[in-house]
Amino acid sequence: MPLDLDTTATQIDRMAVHIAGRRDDREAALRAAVAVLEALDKDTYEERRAAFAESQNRATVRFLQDPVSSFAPTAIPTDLTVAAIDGSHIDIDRHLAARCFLINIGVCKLTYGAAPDADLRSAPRLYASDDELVIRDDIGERSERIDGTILGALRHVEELSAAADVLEALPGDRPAVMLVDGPMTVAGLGGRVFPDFVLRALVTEGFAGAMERFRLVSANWLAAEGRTLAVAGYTSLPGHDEVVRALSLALPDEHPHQAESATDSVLDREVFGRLLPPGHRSALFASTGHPLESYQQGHTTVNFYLNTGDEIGRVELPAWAADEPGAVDLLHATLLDQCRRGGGYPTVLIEAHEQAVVNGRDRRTFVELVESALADRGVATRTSEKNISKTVRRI
Amino acid sequence: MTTPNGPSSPTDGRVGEVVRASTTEFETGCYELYQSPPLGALVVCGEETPIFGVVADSLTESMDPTRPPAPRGAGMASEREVYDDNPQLSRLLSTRFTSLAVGHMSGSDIRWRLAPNPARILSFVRICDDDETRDFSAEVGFLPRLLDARVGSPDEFVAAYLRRCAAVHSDPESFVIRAGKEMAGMLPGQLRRVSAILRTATS
Repeated sequence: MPLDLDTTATQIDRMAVHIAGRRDDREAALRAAVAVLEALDKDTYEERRAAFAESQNRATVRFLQDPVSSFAPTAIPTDLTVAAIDGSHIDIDRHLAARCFLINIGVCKLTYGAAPDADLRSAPRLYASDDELVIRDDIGERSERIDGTILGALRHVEELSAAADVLEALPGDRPAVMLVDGPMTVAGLGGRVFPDFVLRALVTEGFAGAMERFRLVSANWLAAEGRTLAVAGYTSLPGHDEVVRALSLALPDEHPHQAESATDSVLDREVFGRLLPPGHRSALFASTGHPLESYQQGHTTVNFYLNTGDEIGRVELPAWAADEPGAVDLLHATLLDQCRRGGGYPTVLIEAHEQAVVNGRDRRTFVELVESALADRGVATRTSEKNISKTVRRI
Repeated sequence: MTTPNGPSSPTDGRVGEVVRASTTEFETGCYELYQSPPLGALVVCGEETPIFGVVADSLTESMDPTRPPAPRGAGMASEREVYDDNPQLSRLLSTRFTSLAVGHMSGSDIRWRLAPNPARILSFVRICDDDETRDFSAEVGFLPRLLDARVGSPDEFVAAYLRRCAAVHSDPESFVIRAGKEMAGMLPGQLRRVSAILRTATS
C-alpha cells in the first residue's frame, strides 16, 4: 500500500500547530540570547570559559575578537582564482553482488580577471579490494569496515586531499580561495567511539595531512610572492548552536542549566541574523576542547558567521589562516561575491557539487555495470531476494 | 581536389567531432562555444571515408537539460562582461550543429551522393577550404533533396550554401545562374521558390 497521505497530513498539521504555538517562546529565547551576547564581556567570559573547560573537560567557544563586533567586507581582487571541491559517494550495498563503494570528487576552478577561465571535472574512484574496504591498525591485527559514518568521513578526507592537489597545482600568480562544502573538520566521528587506529587514519593522516599541505602552499605563496591563499569550509543554513550554548558561561549568577534552558533551541544563525548587517561577518571564534583535537596535530580551525544578504552562512578556516595577513578579508569578500553570483550560494560550490553529484540514474547504471562486468567474467551474481522483490513488483 | 585532412595541418579548420550520425545527416559537438561554422558552410568529417555535409542548423544550449540558463547580466555594460564574470558558462553550455550529408570521397574522387555508411561517432569535423568548396560545388544535383530536409530552414541554408560557393568561384554570377537553372529543372512547379532562394543567395 502507498503512504496513507490522509493520516500523514493530519499528523503534519498537528506538528505545524505545535510549531506555530511555540513561536512566541522562540522569539523570547532568541531575544534573550542576543541580549546576553551583546552584554558579554570578552575578558570575563574568557576567564570563566577557561575554568569551565578545565573543570568540566568539555568543548567550549573561545572568541578571538569582540563577540558582538561585525566586520564589513573589503574589496575583492580583480585577478583571483576561486576553487571548490565537493564529493558524493555510493555506499556499500549489501544487496549488490560485489562488496564495493565509490567516491566521486567534483572539482570547480574559476579564474576571474584578465583571462577568465573555468575548469570543471570529476574523478570517480572505486574501492573494491580487501585493503580498500577496511581501515587496519599498524600491525594488521584489527580492522574496521569502511561504510556508513566512516565512509562519510573518508569521503571528506578525500575531498580535502583533492583540494590540496588543486592548490599545489595552482601557479600562485594571483590570490586564491579554496572552498569545501560544509565544515573543514571531519564531521560525524564525534558521536560514536571509534578505535584509535581509525581516528589516526582519518583525522591525523587524512584531515591533518591535508591541512598541513594547505599550510605549506599558503606559506610558500606568502614567502615567494606575497600572494594570499584562503581555504575554508562553507556551510549554508548551519544548524550549529555552539555560540548560543556558550552564553551560559556569561551568566555566572544563574545556574548554567537555567541559562541553557532560556535559550533552548535557538541556533547561532538566528542570533547572528539579528546582529550582522548584510555583507558583514561576525567575530572569529574557535571551538576548543573537541574530543578529536588530540588527533589533529595542532591543526585546529576557527569560524565566523557571514550574512550573505540571503542567509547566515558558517565559515570554518584553519586557525593559522586567521593570522595570515588578508586571508580572512579575502575569504569574506570572495564568499560574498560568490554568493551574489550564485543567487545566494557560492557559484563555485554549486558547480563543484554538479560535478560530484551521483544521481539516481547514475546509481542504477553503476549497479548494472557491476553486475554486467561480473557476468562477463563468468562470476555468478546473486542479489538478495528482498532486492529482487523490489525490482520485480507483483501481486 | 584537395584531399580532406591532406596537405595542411591535421587540425586546420577543425571545429568539433561528430556526436550523432545517420546516413543522411550528422551532428557535431563544437570544441568551442559559439564556434559553429556559418549556415550553409560545406564541412567534411571522417578519415577513411570523408563525408561532406552542408551546415543546416546550429544550436547552443545548456549541457544539462535540467539546468536551463538564467539571466545574469542585469547591470552589466556588455554581453562580454557577463561571460567574463561567469567563466563557468563556457563549460556548461555547448554548441552543436547539424550538417546534411551531401556526398563523400571514394578514393580521390568526389561522389555527390550519400555515403554507404553514416559518419563514425567522434569523427573530426572541419570546414572545407575554398578549393574543396569550389570542387564540391561543381555539382548541385543534390540541392532538391536538401530542400526537403526537416532540419532548420531549408530555403535559407540552401541559399547560404549557394552564396558561399559563389564566393569561391571566379565568376560567382555564372555559378548562381547555373545552379538556379539546374534547381528549376529538378523542381517543376516551384519556380517562385527557386527564384526566392536565388534572390536570397545573391542579396
